[in-house]
Amino acid sequence: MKALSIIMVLTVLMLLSPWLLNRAPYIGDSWVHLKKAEEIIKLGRFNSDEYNEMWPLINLIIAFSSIIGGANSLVSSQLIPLLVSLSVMNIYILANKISESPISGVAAGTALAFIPLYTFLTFGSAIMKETASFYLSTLIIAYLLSSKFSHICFALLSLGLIFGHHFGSLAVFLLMLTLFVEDFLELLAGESKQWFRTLADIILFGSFLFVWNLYVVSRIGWFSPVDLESLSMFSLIWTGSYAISRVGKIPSIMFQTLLIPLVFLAWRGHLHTIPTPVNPISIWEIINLLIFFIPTIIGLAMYWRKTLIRSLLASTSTMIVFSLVWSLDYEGLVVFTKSLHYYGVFLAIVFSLSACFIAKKRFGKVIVAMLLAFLVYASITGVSMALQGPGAYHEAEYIEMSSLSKISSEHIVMDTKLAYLAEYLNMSYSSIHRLKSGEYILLTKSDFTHGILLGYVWADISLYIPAGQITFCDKVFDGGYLKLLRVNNV
Amino acid sequence: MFKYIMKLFFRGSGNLKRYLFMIAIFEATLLTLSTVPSGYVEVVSKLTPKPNFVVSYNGPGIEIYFAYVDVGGEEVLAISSKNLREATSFLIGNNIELKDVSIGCKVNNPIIRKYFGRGNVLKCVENLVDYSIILDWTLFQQMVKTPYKKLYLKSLQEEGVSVPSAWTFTKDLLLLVNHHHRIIYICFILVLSVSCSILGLKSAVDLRQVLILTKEMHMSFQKIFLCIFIVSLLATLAGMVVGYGLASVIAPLVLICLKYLLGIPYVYLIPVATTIDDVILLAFLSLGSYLSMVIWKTIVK
Repeated sequence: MKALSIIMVLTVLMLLSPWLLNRAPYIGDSWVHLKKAEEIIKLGRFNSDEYNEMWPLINLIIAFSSIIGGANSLVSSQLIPLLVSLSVMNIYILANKISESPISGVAAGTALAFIPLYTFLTFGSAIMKETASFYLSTLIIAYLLSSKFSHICFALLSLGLIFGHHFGSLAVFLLMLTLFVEDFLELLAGESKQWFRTLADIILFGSFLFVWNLYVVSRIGWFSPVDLESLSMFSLIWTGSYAISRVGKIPSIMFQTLLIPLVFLAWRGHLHTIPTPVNPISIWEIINLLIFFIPTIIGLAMYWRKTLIRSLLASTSTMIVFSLVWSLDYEGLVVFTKSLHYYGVFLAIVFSLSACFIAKKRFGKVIVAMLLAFLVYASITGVSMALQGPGAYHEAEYIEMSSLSKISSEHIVMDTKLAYLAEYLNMSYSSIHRLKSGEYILLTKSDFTHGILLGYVWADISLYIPAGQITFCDKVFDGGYLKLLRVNNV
Repeated sequence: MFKYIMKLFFRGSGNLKRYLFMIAIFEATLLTLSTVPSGYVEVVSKLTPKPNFVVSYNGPGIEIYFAYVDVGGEEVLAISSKNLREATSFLIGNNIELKDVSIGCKVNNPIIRKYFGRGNVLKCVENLVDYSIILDWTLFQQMVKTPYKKLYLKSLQEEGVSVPSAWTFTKDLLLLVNHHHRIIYICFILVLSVSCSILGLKSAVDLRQVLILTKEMHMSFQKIFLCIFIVSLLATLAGMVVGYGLASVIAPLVLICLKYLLGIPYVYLIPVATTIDDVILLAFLSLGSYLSMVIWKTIVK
């Protein structure tokens, strides 16, 4: 329990670090949900008119915690990263249940939060629909294994998740579908004990999911990537992933041996065709990945026979393969980023399963402790980069922008990062484009250090403002973070 | 009894599980080998402009006139002809319905529509028409204030020359790929039929045991063979679905690896429903060869 407490504290600190160090929420989506929550508090009801209101869980959590706690919404929004960090507990329960070893549980929690495949902070610290529903997704997966299963409790959890986010719901639905197929095949072999329960759960969850999303489609229309072609592609990929995971241990290991490096390359920007500058992969990153990869493959080989492991493999791999196959451009990147978090859950669990095997050997516990400490240590670089990255806001940015919103009535050009903040502060803005004389452009520190943010990707500032042009602009405002320029030389 | 046969059938030597995966893997390989190259060639042929006309400053040919019109500070290419129907069929590749003003898909915006006051938006055809406005000859003369230029369009046949172009090359390539596809297909049919016959022979050994047991249980042969047929048919269909699934996972992932390692552009066309006729024949031939061996070994012998 001591080890689990340490991991919990480390995860909480890591996920709250953007708030603790920068005094501002992480990722632009945060401002959207803050505004929605403030509207709920102000009006005393919630609307369901647009995309960010259709899955109201996050807005309601922030609003309720603000009302109950009496804190402002900026502070109470930090409940979301706190909830995400509690997922470590769910993963602990899952791994503990599968391996019957608390060491695995601790290893799973650590691997989830400090996974070397990507920086978990970029997801867990954000105030988004995905993050608000992540705790529920992992809780439902853990609850499916519970010996004291109650359908009422499951229905309540399902409703929470379905109101949380469509992608989280899809991840859980896919897992349940795979578990059902596994149970059905066991039934055919005369070994199934609980296929009827799985069927009942799937009908319950599926009907909630279908009805709510039908309502969403009726309100806002089809949302990407839901269309007939992608759904058929998704089904085929699920069939293929399931077949590979079912055939045997070796095909499953080969599949993951191919997929993990591909996912790593995609995360580092080497596969998608996007304008974000790509840095070469360092030898240290490869070492970090290998230290994670080898125990993961060992864990998979050892526990491949467990139905939940095979089902997690098939369902999470389906999502990640679909994201890569569907498109290697910007749209594919969005789906890839969302899928990665659920694939991360699977990898964390299989990684942890090797820990109980290592711990039984001579000096095994010391080796496991060193391995976990290494994961934490290796993630420091990623975390510090993320804290300075284009997704990170700073209190000064918010204060300077608030001051600007009070004095400026001009239509200002800005990138996605500042546009989120402008939307929150009801400022008039337009997205970044080739500038014309007389236009005002607002730039922030990260625009110069990392590049301007365009949705999920960022591009070098010189793509829009040629080098030297800035020096000829009139400096209207020059704060510590923000610079408001008037273009006059085009 | 159905469950009993299925259990025995799935676990014995030369079992149905192996048969199911054999069909799936053969089919996945076939789909990968056939769809991936034709996917590349199809995409290339779509991107390659069709050189079905030549442009000349001198006649004979169909006259077309072009000029730039200033619309809200931006210059837009305007095209017209005295014989607009024939000229557009040259430019677009087929006859389309034109109005006084037809707007190319890439220049379609509210400013243009407002400027001309009317007009229909043309579908994208991947040539200069997408970036231009096609105007009726009378309207063209009224709207274009600047001096306009004249060109002649001629068909390649009219010119009397066969031009070796990228498009004719991709057409030949597509034919070549289809030819290879047919050869691969025949080879697959042969190999899969032989393999399934061997599996049928192997499973017949287990089936004899089943028959002896069921004889003691006073079950009719017809009923047993009906069950075997249904189980085999279901296995074949499951094999087909799994084959599609495997092809949809393995082929694109390999292509993504090739993109990263060799820089080959990632072009992937998922196996579509139309490929089912190729696959269904392959699957049923394998089912036929499997069952024929089972029947021959268990009944005839």
